[in-house]
Parts: sequence; structure tokens; C-alpha cells
Amino acid sequence: MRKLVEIESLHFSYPDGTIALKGVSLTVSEGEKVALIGPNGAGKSTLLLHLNGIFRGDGSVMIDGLSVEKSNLKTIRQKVGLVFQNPDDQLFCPTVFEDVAFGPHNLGLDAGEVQRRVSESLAAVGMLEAARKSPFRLSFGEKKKVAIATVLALRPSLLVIDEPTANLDPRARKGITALLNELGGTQVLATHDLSLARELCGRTIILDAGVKVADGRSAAILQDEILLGTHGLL
Amino acid sequence: MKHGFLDKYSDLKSPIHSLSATAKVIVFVGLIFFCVSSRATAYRSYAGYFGFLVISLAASRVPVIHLLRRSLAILPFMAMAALSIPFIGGGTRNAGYAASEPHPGVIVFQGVVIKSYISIFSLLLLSSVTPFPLLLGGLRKIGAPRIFLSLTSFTYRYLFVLVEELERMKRARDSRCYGGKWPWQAKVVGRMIGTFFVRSCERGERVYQAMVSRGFDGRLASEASQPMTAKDYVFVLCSLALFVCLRVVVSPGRTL
Repeated sequence: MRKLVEIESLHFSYPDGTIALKGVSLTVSEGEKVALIGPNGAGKSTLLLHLNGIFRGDGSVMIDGLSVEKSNLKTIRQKVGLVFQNPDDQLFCPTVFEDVAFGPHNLGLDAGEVQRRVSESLAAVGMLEAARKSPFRLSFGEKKKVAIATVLALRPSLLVIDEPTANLDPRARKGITALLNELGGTQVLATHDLSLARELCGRTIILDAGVKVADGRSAAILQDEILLGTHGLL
Repeated sequence: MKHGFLDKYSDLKSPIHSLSATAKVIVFVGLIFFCVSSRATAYRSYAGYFGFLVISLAASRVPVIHLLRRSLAILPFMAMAALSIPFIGGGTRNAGYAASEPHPGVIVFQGVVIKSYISIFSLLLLSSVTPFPLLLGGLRKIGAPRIFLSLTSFTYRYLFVLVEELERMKRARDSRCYGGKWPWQAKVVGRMIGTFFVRSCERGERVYQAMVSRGFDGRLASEASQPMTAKDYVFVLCSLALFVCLRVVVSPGRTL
């Protein structure tokens, strides 16, 4: 099966000296849904930011056969749809329409195609009627959905979402879980929500203190209470 | 502060609301241009500009009290203008002016107050009858610099996010029995401002990362703005003709 993500011995330190990743290696194949779990400060978000070249650590990161380097960034950012944890960081335009159109505009698509992609992406997350609204008039759950639509408009091969269900009430959480299930495709979800990992992802990776400590079938990993307890997940 | 603070009433239905944003931007910004370039004593022209704004306000169905309250924002600027009075034209007082004539500083002060009030009234009316995103579209159409539009758009989007952040910090401070002597309080407020600044910078970085993740290369693409129709052209031409008359025929002359 085609490998969409290939990471080999990835190391990364922040400018203040904090070591965030210590030699992480992993692969994600097409069609897989992978949960990336770990305690706060484990390096999950840092790892996600390497998938589209926002951060460039030491080691090798390949996306769909392309090395993450300056000359490939445009293609890689179209292939990797990265949704940030806080939708207020992601939605910065005065209207939902403009926010979803932002990515397609950057790809240089014509107005008709942009319109088509915006409608298609908003319809996919059930937010078509909110197109003319301002993002700040939406509820937190709605903002999350629109944030997902903003990357769907790029038609990515890989959907990467940081904490998809954080700060959501049970109904909104259910809505996002159902949406991610419907969207299908290849997904990497960084989360603390173990039941989300159980419901959606066939595979789970545990990251702790910048090290990959477990990688396998969700059914097995999420039942291992000793493993979860050791890494602050229970 | 609520989200609708800046463009409250902009989604009412009225003849003024239904005009294209570009037409409204041209007319209301044009009015400011003509008004500001008038002589300080062009009172009849001022009455004309203000009359135009009052008629537009009545047609727009925006509550008068709303605009009056907002227009109080001009008071600090009036105070600043008042401070400058003793320093304007004082030397010529004895030589060139009769005792019955007003001090030249007073004339300048009156001009500044009236012009500022009409300008602020015009901008408030414009923002009350045009939803903010369309207003940006209108400004873009008349050639406002892109960097200015981007900054305005970001300010509109994040102003309230930042205000809410500040309020959360205040609540957190007050919940822990904030008080004590003023040097201590000043120290706390100073630290809060520092923290707020760092948090805003970090948010700015995250927003930028989210933009770069979607292929941002430094240029903000723009949404198409509302097209101008025959009705808009008539509104623009008639209004500008009125302003030209007020400026050139009713009260001709140089700015001061």
C-alpha cells in the first residue's frame, strides 16, 4: 500500500532549548486512520507541524514520496490538510466563505472552481448555510467544522487534526466524530480522547516526552491499562 | 463588548442598506474629503453636509441615539484641538483683528470641531449601513492599499478575541483577591500587559502557521465585491454633484 507519511529519526528542539522530539520514526499508509495519543507536552502538536513543513527538525520527513523541503512545500501543503486545535487560530477572515476560499485562492484556482470547492467543503461538514456568516458568530463546535472545511477545500490526501474533540460538549463531540467517520480517507488525529481513538482509528501511536513508546492496533493498545497508566493517559 | 459592536444595524433593510458597498464608500468618504477641504467658516456648507447625513440616517432606519452615542468618541480630539487654541495666530491678534472679532484660534477650533464631528458621523453611518466584510470589499474596489485592508480585516476578526482574552485575565486576577497598595497594583497590571502582549504574539504566530499551512505566500486573495448597479451610479453622481455645489458654489475658498 502507498505510504503517505514516512518519518525517520526525527529530532526537534525549540529555540529555548526544550527538546520536543527525540528520534521519532513512523509511517502512515493510504487509507489508515491513526490516533496519536500522549500526555500534555508529549510532542504531538510539534510532530503534526512537521508533516507540512511548518517545523523542520533533524531527520527525514517524506509526504507521499516527496521530501519536506522548501521546493516541495506548496505541493505538500496541498496534500496535508492540517487543522489546528483552536479554530480561532485557523479562521481569520471576516466571513466563513472567504476563510474556506483562502486555500483554493492560494492554489491559484479560478473563481468558479473556488466557489465549487467552497460549496463542496461546507456541504461536506454540514455548514453550507453559514457561508456568509462571520466566524465569530458561530459556536465552538461549528467553528471546528468550518476549520475542517477550510482544509477540505484543498482536497488533501491526508487529513491531520490536532485535538478534534477538545472543548466540545457531548453533542458537538458526537457531531465531529460522525463527520470524521463519514469523511474517510487517510487521517492522523492527535487527541487525549481515548474513546475517539477507539471509535475511529484502527491504529494508535503513543508519544511521551518526544519518544514513540507504542504503535499498534487500537484495540490492543487502548486495553493495556498498565501502558496507558505509565504514560499518563489513565 | 459584543461581536456586533462595529457594524451593529448593518443588516437592516432600507434603501441605504440596499446600495452597493462601493457606492456608499465613495459617497461617505467623498463627503469627508469635501467637508475637510472647506474653509473653517463655511457654515452653510457644513449645514448641507450634515443635512445630507441626517437624511441618509433617516432613510437607513438606524436609531439616532446609536449614532449620537458613538459620535461622543470625538470628545478627546475636541479637547486636543482646544488645547492648541492659545498657540494659533496669537501674534497677529493686536495687529490685524478688531476686538469684536473672534480670536483666530477660536475659528480654527470651531472648524476642527465641526469637521471632525461631520467626518466621524459620516464614518459611523457608513459602518452602520454596510456589513464589515462588504465595506472592505468596497474599499478594495476604490483602490485602498491591500496591506491596510489586510490589517483592518485582521483587527476586525481578532479585536474581540483579544478583548475576551483580556477579560479572562482580569477575572482570574480579581478571583484571587486583587487589591493592596497602588505600587503593587501597578506591578500586577504591568505584568498583565506583558503577558497579554506575549499571548497575542503567540496567537499571531499560530494564525500565521495556519495560513501558511493552506498555502499562504504573502498575498491575500480577495472575494469579489458587490457590483454597482444603475441605482448605485445615480446615488453616487447625485451625491457628489451636491458636495461639489456645497464646496465650490455655496462656500468657495481655501481650506483655512
